[in-house]
Amino acid sequence: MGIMAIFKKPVVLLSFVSLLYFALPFSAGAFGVSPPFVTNSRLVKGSRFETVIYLVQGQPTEDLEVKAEFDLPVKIKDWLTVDKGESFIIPAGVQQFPIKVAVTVPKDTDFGSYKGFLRINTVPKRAEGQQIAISVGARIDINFTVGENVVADFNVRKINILDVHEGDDPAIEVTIENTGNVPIAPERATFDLFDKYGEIRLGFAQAEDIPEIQPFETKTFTLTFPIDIALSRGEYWGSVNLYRDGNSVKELRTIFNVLEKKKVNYTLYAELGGGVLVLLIGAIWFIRRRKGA
Amino acid sequence: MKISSILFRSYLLSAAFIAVFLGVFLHLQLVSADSSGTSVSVVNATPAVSNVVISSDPITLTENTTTTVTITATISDGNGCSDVFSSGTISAVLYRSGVAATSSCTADDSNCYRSITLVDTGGTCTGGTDTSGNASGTVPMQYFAEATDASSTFPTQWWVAFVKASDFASASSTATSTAATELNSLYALNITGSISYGSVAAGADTGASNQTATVTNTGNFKIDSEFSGTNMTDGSNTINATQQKYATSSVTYASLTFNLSTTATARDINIVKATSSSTPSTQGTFWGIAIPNGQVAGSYTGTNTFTAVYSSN
Repeated sequence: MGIMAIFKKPVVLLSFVSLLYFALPFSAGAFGVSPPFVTNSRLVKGSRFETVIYLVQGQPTEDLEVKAEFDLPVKIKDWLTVDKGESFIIPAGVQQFPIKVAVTVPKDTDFGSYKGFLRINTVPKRAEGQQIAISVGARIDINFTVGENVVADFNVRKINILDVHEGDDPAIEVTIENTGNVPIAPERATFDLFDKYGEIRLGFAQAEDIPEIQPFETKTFTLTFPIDIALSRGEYWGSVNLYRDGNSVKELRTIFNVLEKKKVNYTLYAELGGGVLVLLIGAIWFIRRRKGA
Repeated sequence: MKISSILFRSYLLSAAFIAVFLGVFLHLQLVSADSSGTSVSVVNATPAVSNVVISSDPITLTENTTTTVTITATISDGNGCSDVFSSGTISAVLYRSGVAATSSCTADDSNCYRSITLVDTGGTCTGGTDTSGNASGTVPMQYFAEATDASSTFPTQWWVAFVKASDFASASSTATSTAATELNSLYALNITGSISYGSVAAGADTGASNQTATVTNTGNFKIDSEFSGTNMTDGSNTINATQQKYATSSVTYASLTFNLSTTATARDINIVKATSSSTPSTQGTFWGIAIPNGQVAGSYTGTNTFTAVYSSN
């Protein structure tokens, strides 16, 4: 039977061009999500929990349109949001694209466990003659519990002794994740100062006024330790401890540098002072002239 | 007083000064000579490693490729940091905590990366009496490296960086990262091939001529896939999505296992994660279509969706 014969019958023409064009295997699309879950078992009424999920692609050669679609029980439909909205573009060249998924629990809701999904799928560009465009994506599992138990807990994610300048006090940078559902902070932090060989203890200081971290948030901040010794330029060892309920929950012992004292920019001050003086003289001259007039 | 007398007395005074000066000088020389009889042996100091950090934390991988992870450490040596940075070596091992008590794991792109070289970053070891510097090294982690987050197979484990610094005299010390660095689960897939049915007569189906779309697991966790599709349209004419059928083996249209739905439906295709970059983990899916009797002729198009989901078995 010839092609013309086929056309005489009620035939669904699904394009011969596409048969040729798509004869060879090719990548119709690739996509992933990490981590693929939004999980929290410590939510209470009024809680807000936010987590970052990366949308990843190994070969981001062109802009990619994606859709984010929740599949949730009606009761919690309005509790979850994606910061980028329901449809957005991942720019070409971006292998890891972060989105924030937030859960906001109403204050007047019931206790319970809730499950659902968030599907992130690509919106394929249909090639000329293509019958079936292929969309790829990944599903994020949502699973959280709203309870009444107060949980006070945190995790020290990162700690680092900073280089400081002559005359400055020792300082650390610390990143803490509040994994509980009430504000929390370490009760104190201590700093032991040693010489450049880490053998002779030169001083001790502690910080107690540590800022609180809100529930489910991660915060990075700097703590300084007022110490009696004026640190001169050179290398020192420091030993830092963060405490909770009297116990050290995180320790770091490492070397740090005391750098040259920050130079005061006298030229700048002189220029500023000169400028102010000129303005002052000008103002006096102007006022006197007006009075004279 | 005659000038000659003055000159003579000046001469005597000068001679006296010179004599005193020489005496003092010789005395000092002798004292100095005594001192030079002592000697000091500077012994070799063992390097110290501290503040080992893995960046980023948590580690997020990218599907179907490698992701650069950085290991940093502070290295110090009482003989001067050059004893390590210039004359010694700094190396690291990055591994999942469960595969080895120390760094003695066997190289495996899933859980143990060895022979990572760390070097000075930003000229922090300035030589001379400078005793410390910051070292940094990178490792390309494969997309199938094992996850340790709460939903993974290893929820009580984490990734560890082990750093070893050796100086010129081969004295060495080690340290490991103190933060429990997590590696996040990654659900990802790659679809190769196409679904293109060509021309099919109304009332007929594609028979044994299946279209093939191969699903490759490009993440680090076993996955299933959800399947869904839009109705195919040509202007106002429609072929329902359910007319398409699919299966994980190539059979005739009548024997294909599942009808496509417009609602996402998970199917157990159980694609395990890859264990080597040269042997991807794949599953073929085979597609056919039946055209209802009376369907208006035309060029129909639609979209089929593959979504990676958690595989529980």
